[in-house]
Amino acid sequence: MTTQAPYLCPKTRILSRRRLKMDYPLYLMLAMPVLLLFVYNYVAMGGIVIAFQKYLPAKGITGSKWIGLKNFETLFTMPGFIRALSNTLTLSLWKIILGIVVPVGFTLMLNEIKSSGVKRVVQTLIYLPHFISWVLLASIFTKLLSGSGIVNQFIKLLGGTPIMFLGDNHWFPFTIIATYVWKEFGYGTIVYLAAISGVNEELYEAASIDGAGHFQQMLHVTLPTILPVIILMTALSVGNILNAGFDQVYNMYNNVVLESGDIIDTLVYRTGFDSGNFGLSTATGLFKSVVSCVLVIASYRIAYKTSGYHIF
Amino acid sequence: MVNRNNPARRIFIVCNYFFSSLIGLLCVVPILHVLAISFSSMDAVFSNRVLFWPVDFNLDNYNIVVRDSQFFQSYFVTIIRALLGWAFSLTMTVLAAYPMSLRKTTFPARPFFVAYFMGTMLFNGGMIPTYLVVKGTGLLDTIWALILPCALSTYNVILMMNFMKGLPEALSESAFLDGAGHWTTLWKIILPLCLPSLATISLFIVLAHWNAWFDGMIYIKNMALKPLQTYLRSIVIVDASVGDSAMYLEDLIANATADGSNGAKIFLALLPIMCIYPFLQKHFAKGIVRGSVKE
Repeated sequence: MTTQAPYLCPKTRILSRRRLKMDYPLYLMLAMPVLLLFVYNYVAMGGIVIAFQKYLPAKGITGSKWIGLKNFETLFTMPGFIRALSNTLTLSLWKIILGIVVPVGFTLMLNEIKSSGVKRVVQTLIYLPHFISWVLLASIFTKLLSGSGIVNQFIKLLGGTPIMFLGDNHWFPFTIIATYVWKEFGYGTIVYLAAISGVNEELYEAASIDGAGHFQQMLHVTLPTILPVIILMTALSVGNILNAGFDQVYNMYNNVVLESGDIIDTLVYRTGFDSGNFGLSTATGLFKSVVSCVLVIASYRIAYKTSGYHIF
Repeated sequence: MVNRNNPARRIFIVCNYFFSSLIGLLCVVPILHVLAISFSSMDAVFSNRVLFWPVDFNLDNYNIVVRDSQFFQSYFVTIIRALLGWAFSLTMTVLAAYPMSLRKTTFPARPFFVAYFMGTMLFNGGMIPTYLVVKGTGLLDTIWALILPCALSTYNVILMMNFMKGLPEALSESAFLDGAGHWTTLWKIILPLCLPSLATISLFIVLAHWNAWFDGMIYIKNMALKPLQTYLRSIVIVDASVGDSAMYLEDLIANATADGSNGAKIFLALLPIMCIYPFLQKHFAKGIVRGSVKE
């Protein structure tokens, strides 16, 4: 009698001896991953108690003084926080909107290209930036967009005055959003192209026989088929409202554009590592985590309700 | 098609080809510019004559880089972290994904672990607590600080799990009936069928390690262990922020020289990504679609 055929006895209690004997290899497999997540995620979550302390690294968590909600009082009355919050919302909302509109628009353009060679070349070109780190891209863009950079030379050539893209509060958010869209729109088209490839060709034929032009076919056949994916992507992006992109902003901002470029994540970093105020920094991070958690759960629920999407 | 010869349609097609190609080119032009600078003479860079093709082609900038021992040290650190991190992360991902891919009837404790993994996607401790844990586990200034904290991405686990779920159940079922345990089934039946998704996830992992810079900045103080992107950030971006304030000729010349050698460093840092790009493109497209659009 083999006890190792789990399919043979589905209805035993999880912790019964028979069940454990069958399942222990699975627990063994999960042991290391679970331990890793426990230490670097769950223990770290426990570390948020620092947000309620006047934390001193020398004294540690057990030795530091508890100060209740003081850190949050400081945080919410700090002018830098309101500024960071509003910058975060501005940047992330534009990123979310354009991060959907631009890929969808470009997918429709690509879909009208009938030569598969041209299409493939264009796809190869537009996916590339996604794979390059913001460190490298930020250094490339600081060069390109500087006062003597190639973009400003072009502007001068056209008779305009040079623009300080990364050193002017008026232009900085625009630069951040534009370079983000540049990096990610190509990669964003992948999901929509996949959805389009599933469109039944007969629908186009039927539409064409009914006298629909190309534009109408796009409007009434292509767009409705990718609409569910658009809705799903929109729903999932709700969870990212407080993520304005630390990697990008931290590598591209400087002291001159803090007014328009400081976001919650960069504020957390500077408070913690530059000013050494671990308590306040953790409180800021905790504010973000809590709000994000609610938003992520909401986004999963919307995604589930609208598209039947479930993660696990 | 009814109106293939419609002039308006023709104009649209031509414009569409033109703009699509233009946008495609715009995606690589900034990178080309930097590469062109790296292969141009200092003189040409200084007088802004370099566009997208090297002017006075030479390898001077690469000669400067060759003498930068820290650059190669960091390059080496990144290769090591990518290899070690790949082996470790891939093992962890497979070990987590297999039990999660089983049905609840086969593995009744599955919902508990699903909740456990979900928890890490919903909430995180933030920058400082994570830093303190890394410090507390004694990883600061070791290569493990770059490998262990980021070893397990729940996203990769889900991707792998979904792929395993998609395999015909009859395969593992018959293995069980033949007396194979879970380890044997995973090793002999499931893994050989998972090669495509193993490739995808390997690329995800290696790419993430190649591009990571933040962990190297906060967890590593020892210059001998600084990963490439962190080192590049410290020279290229810090230099650039003062670049525009240069007033004297010497400063401008120094800037032009730095532009050239920085361009060379950026190119060398991009090289491995360019080399695996054909594979990346193929597998990422598959991976992202499979991960996000489910049946």
